[in-house]
Amino acid sequence: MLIPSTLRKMPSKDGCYNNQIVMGGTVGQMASALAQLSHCKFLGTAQYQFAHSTYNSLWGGEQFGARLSTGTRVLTTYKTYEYNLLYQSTVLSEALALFFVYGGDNTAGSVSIKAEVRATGSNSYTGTVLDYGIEFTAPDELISYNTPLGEAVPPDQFAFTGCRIQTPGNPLVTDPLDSPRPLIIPSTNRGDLLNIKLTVNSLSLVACHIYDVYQLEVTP
Amino acid sequence: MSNSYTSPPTLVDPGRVTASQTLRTTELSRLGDIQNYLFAVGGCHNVINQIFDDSCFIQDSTSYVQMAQWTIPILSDKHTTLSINIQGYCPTAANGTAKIEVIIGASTVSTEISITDQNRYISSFNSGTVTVTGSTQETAVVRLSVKAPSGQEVTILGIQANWQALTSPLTTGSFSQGSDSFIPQGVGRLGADLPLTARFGVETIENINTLRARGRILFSWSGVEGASSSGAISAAGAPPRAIGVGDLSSFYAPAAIFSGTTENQLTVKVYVRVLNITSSADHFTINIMNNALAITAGGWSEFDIDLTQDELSISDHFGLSVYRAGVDEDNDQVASPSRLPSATGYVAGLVIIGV
Repeated sequence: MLIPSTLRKMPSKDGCYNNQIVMGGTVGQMASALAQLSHCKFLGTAQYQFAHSTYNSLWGGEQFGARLSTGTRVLTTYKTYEYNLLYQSTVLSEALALFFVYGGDNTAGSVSIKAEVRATGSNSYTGTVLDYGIEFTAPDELISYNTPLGEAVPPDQFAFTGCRIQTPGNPLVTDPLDSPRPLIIPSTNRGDLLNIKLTVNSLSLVACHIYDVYQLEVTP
Repeated sequence: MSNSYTSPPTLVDPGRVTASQTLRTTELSRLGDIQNYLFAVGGCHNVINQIFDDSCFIQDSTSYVQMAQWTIPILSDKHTTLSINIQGYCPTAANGTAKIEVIIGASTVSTEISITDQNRYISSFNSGTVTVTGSTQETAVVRLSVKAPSGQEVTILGIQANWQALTSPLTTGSFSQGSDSFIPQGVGRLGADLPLTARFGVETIENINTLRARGRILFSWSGVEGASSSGAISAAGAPPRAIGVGDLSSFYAPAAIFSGTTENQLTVKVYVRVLNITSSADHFTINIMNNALAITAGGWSEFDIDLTQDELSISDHFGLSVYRAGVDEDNDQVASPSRLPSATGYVAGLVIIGV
């Protein structure tokens, strides 16, 4: 069945009062509206902003303008540099789309973002891998600039996995990472707190937004 | 009678309940079941999520320092447990501590979370819960304070929070969601050989309208106040406390806003936290989603906004109408290099809650 995304106005409740004939259209609208709520509105999402040091010689300790400051530049420490993003999934979290905001510097080495999904048993950062994940690389999937480390500001760029659900091509740890695609959540882990583990190289992350993928058609 | 629900939910095909179809009990019980599911589970994903780079969100005080806060939606008067996960470290066997306070009106409830890691992402994150009294207010403020052991520094790397879902079956009675109400459905009453009441149809329509109004986070950010480190500010303790020049080109999240929001009298609300307002000279205007919002007071200010933006082209990928939920790039006053946070009012927090 199709999952509507619009909030169609509900019929008047008067039509369900005693002594009224309840129309099929009224009940159909109830079914559609409930499907919109469960499979569209209440899909999971997260909007991670990344705070970096704002210190710079111009504004000293004013602590604003994080994206223009020294800290937002691609630091030498951003080599296999990890972040762990916690995501409370829903039982309908079949696939997760990722949208990144970043600045990349190709003078420091190859520019990339890797993303994988892990379970969070015992609150561990090294929980069971659920999807070995994907890799964005420059210049195919990422834009990077020739900006000497610490001296210039790579402008914010955007990268996106898209929302087309695909079967992972890397079911084993020894397999190479897939090209960008939504991350797949096994059915037994949907509804769990998940760890979206990111690893960046020569790249400064500014934001990562996570979305349960909306599917237009599902089987009731 | 049990107000139970099935998870994952089972849908009703609208084609099975239109004119000329036999109305089966399967469809009716599913209509009741999914209402209970939606009330219990809807919106129980992340309400707070933020990452802090190493040595940014850092504290060396041995007494609590209030460092960040967010506004979050309250899902209902029955959703009373907020789960919080803190990522951080303190390079010593003695632990740093984070205090989470949930403020609803005049009521404040808190919990303390001990930070056990001794290096960045070395082992595990730390969790806690806050249980609040059921409230009919629409939002709460969550405040994060941090303290370090003597002679040490604690670093916060990330925070995530979500309301815990209600378990099946729901309790009986009428529930509150802000000023709206929700009546759970007794699924056993929707089985075969039982009367189908007018009340079921009326309550279903009212429940749907209530759940449509439930808030969900479109964008959430807090600045960091009071960071302190023994290191030079060039190396540690300079997290963003304000938004300003350089931030605005990407200070938003692509977020779905559903067609029909305005027609159903539903609103998108913006919550702006402002500090350092001492006189009218500190007042300013911030442009958010094509709305010019006048800031004339410190603390949290709430605004209803008009939806006049164009969709982002990325909507095609999502299959949804996706908009720029955040600060507009055109923001002369917020982006002015002459309006320094040390001298005038500044934005220290921004949350956008849609439906």
